[in-house]
Amino acid sequence: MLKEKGNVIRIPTPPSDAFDQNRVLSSQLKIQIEQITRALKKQVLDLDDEVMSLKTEGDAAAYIKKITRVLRALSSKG
Amino acid sequence: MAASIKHIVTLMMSNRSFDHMLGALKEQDPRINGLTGEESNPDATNKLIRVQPLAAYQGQLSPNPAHDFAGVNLQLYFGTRGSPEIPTMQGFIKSYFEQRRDVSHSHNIMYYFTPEKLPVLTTLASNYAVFNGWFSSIPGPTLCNRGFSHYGTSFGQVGVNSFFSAGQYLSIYERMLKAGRTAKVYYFDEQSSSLEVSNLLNNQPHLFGSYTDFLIDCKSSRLPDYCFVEPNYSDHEDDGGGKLLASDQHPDHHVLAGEAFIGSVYNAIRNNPNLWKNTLLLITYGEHGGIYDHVPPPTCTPDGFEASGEATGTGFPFKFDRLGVRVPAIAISPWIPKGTVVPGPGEQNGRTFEHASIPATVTKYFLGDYDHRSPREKAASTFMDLISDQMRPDADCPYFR
Repeated sequence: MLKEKGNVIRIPTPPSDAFDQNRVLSSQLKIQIEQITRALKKQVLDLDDEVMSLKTEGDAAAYIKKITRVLRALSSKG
Repeated sequence: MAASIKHIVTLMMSNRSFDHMLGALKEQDPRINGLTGEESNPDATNKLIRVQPLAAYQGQLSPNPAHDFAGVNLQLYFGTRGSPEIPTMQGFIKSYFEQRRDVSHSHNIMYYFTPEKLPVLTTLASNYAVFNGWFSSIPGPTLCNRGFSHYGTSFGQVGVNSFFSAGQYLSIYERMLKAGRTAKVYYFDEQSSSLEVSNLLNNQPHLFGSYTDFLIDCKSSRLPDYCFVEPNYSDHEDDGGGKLLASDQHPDHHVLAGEAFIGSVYNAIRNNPNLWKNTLLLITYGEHGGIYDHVPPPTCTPDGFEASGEATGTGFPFKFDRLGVRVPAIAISPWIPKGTVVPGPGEQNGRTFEHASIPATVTKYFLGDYDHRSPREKAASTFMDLISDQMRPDADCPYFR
């Protein structure tokens, strides 16, 4: 198995084909998107069309990154 | 001697039950309240299906098992009249069957990992303190349960789509800052961001850092007094095009990516000798994710809130008087004796923990008397008594690589 000598334990590596940016959004990610959108809407923007177009984890990651940056910048100014 | 501890770190993973991840450890250590192999649920044909050591890292739990309030209610109370009776834990297969109407596939919800498949989590459980009785805070979804780890309450929310508005009680981070202490939430990166958006990220951006910041802060001994670490919630590319696997272990993300992340958080603390001797790391999971566990969640101190029958989706209101399904929880420090098993409810000297135990412990340890907290948090068990007065030799504590 994975134990090595002494007290060092090797961490197994996931296979490269485990990566799937096209995996359909989970309910958790959908909620995160709704939360982050609602937070930003309070500040400025109408994001409904953009949110409706998000289908995959890759879409979600790009969108969440953008909104996180804006939120942090806006909140920092406030 | 808890005074040796200067930092408390919480790592919260996603959507796995105690039995699913750690239940097999009972065979190695009978003190651990895991699985005997005899536990079962009826399937849609009324055949009793036993737990089996067949859990796979990925590909078994799609669709994502239900863990909304009504779904968990079915998992707990199938075959009984429901609350306030003691849960039978007989409805997990029934609940999962209803999502895909596939009898064979519904059995997957009973599968568990063997220890050699989870070398990081099981090594930590065997080498430090594993809790037999750490439960999610409500029998419901992610954000409400996480609310208890930040505020000691979900402010009456049980829904999947909870936009609770804090205010009545301060988050543990705000309490710490007001008292002149330091606290932070480290999210993995901007693409993954935080699940604590509506109240924390939106209002207190200064509380946040990235996982890269966490690693730097560990290396340079600048870790705050208290911090909360969030794993990566999605498969995505980093700014350089590198492929980053989700590491939260939420189905159907690859479980080994989570193992690697847990090992990384542990190593970041372990590899700085000054930090290692001063830090308590708690690893737990937000909720069970609809996956089987055999221990009925106990009743608890009501929260002072009530969710309506419409909000619960069951037609019956909920007074926050019963905990959610049991999840893995491990406390790690060189001051914790190897092989500590914290007994759970029903055992001799048994104790019940839940996510409100996190702010309860941090508050008690760093702030002392602090009255303005939820009734649930005030009643929650704390865990700093696990710290002994003897630091273990370095060679006795494992490394991962």
